[in-house]
Amino acid sequence: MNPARPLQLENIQGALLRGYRLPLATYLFLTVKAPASARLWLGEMAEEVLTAAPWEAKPDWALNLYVTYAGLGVLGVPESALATFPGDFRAGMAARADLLGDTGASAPERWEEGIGGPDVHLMVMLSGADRRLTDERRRWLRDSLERAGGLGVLSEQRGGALPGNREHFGYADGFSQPPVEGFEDDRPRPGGGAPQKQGGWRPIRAGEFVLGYPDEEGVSPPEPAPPVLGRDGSYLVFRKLAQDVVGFRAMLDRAMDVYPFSEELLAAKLVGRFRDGTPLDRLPDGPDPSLVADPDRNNDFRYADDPEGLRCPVGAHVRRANPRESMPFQGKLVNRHRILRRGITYGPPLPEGSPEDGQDRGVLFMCFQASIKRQFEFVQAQWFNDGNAFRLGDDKDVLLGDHDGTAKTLIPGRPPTLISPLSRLVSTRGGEYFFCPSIAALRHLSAVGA
Amino acid sequence: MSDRAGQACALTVLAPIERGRQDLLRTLLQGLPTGAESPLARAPGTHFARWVVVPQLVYQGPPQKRDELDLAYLMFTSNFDGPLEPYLDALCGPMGEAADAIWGCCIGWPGLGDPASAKAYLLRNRLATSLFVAGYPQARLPEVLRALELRERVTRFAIGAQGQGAESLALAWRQEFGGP
Repeated sequence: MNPARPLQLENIQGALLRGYRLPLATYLFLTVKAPASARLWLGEMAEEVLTAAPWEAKPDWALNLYVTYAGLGVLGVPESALATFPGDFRAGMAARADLLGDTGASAPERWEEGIGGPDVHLMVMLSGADRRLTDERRRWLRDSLERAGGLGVLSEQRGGALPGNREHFGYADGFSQPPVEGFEDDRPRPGGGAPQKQGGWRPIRAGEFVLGYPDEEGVSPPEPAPPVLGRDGSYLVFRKLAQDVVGFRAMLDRAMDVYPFSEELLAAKLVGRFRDGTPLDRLPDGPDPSLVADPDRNNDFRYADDPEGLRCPVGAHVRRANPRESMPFQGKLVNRHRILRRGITYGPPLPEGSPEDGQDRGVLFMCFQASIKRQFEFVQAQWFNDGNAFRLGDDKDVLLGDHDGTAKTLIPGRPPTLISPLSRLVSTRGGEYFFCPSIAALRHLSAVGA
Repeated sequence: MSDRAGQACALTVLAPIERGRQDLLRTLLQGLPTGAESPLARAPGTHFARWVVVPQLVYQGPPQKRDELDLAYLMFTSNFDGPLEPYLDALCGPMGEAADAIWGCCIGWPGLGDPASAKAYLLRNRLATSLFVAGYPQARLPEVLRALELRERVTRFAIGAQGQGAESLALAWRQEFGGP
């Protein structure tokens, strides 16, 4: 194995390696009408992109840029280079609907216009610390597009974090992200990264997320050509996921007819954490705010000594997303299926006890990985939308499964409880696969075919 | 080294694909119907089987030596209720058209006009099984399917019977599954 070169932080887009934790985000989905003008604009914007280089002070806004396969072609990347991109990215998200469980209410025919599809070429993500600043940057961005010409805005999505980092079903989110080797603090917090035989944890190899570095197999995965285009890049999955909050609460209510313990515990058993974030594997009986507040403890668990899922059900949401040491070979293969999540909620929260208000709400889900197929698609298809990998038959994740109204889930215990029927609670409203080019690649794209 | 695990059998066939026919073969395989319409449904006793196009060898870094295939290969691998002979007969008989179309993309396939030669072709391109682990070595396919049905039935019963007292549970059990 060649010694890994250090992560080229000035060349890597910031959002890939770092969750900004800025509370507002706006996403503009662009189509290229005149490639020459679009390339000029892209060259200008390449200099505005926030990179992964260390901060002196945390910026209060950030801009990042992503491009679809269709976008690469329209901008003038030659066929010979296009052919070096992987099939999942080239196909795009809608073409993978069956694999992803995007059927019925989530089917691409029902998606909102302008988030994915062949006309979407570029996506700009604008993150901001407050409304005034974000609006001001948005106007600046829109002005720059107008001045440049050659680009049209197909749609705009706006996200805003809910208080306390909650998502709409009421759970605190964002405790667990794989730390990336060679980036910032190399010693991960307990529970982050890959579990070690001797105890402790190590960061995940950078090549699982950034192209051009060794991955968990010890080799650099194939990267698109030429190197200036592929290297230090990544693949981004964007999905607008609508959450049926009333449906979720009704499901909990119905389940309480058969669940012999508290609603609070039931809600935790389905997800693997109490609503405040307390992990069941550590504290299966009740939440503990002091544990949640301690980053050395709130993610420090392995599931290794709970194969039956008596503390945390095997089918619980966070255990499916990252089964840690409950999988064979000390969870070694799990390291090949990690993603860097960078989502933000959208829509107003629905107060507890409120009836359906007809408002659209959910999450603008984003994740980065070196291989969409091996990472995002595998997790979605095999771990969330099936149960076979966990010896759960075809039981699906309660939250993300494409349930048909007959499905069930099992809460192990004495006695065990079967929750059924389950209906779809999260629907895909649109999405696309993007390439996350390096800064050098953005400059390259601004001059390609010229 | 055995291609048997209990009564279950393993078969792996690796056949070279004719130049220029790889795309056609991929399209063909991707378009195969699934479920009851799958051609494999006409090869009774199939537990798990698949065709895989192997376009090239993947180099995973040292200590592996770099090696390249001159031709792409089609791998067929199946776990089924033994013995082998009648299974080969099914592949070259009832599975008929699909088998002919698929292996027709491979070099030397004699065609099903001559079933004996077709069987011989599969055997000639067979790879020795070096490790075989079957999911249900003792159960033949009909038993596996019956067990899955029973499991589904018990699950449905359990969902409906949750929270019942011992007596009404026993009564419901006897009504559903019989017994004293």
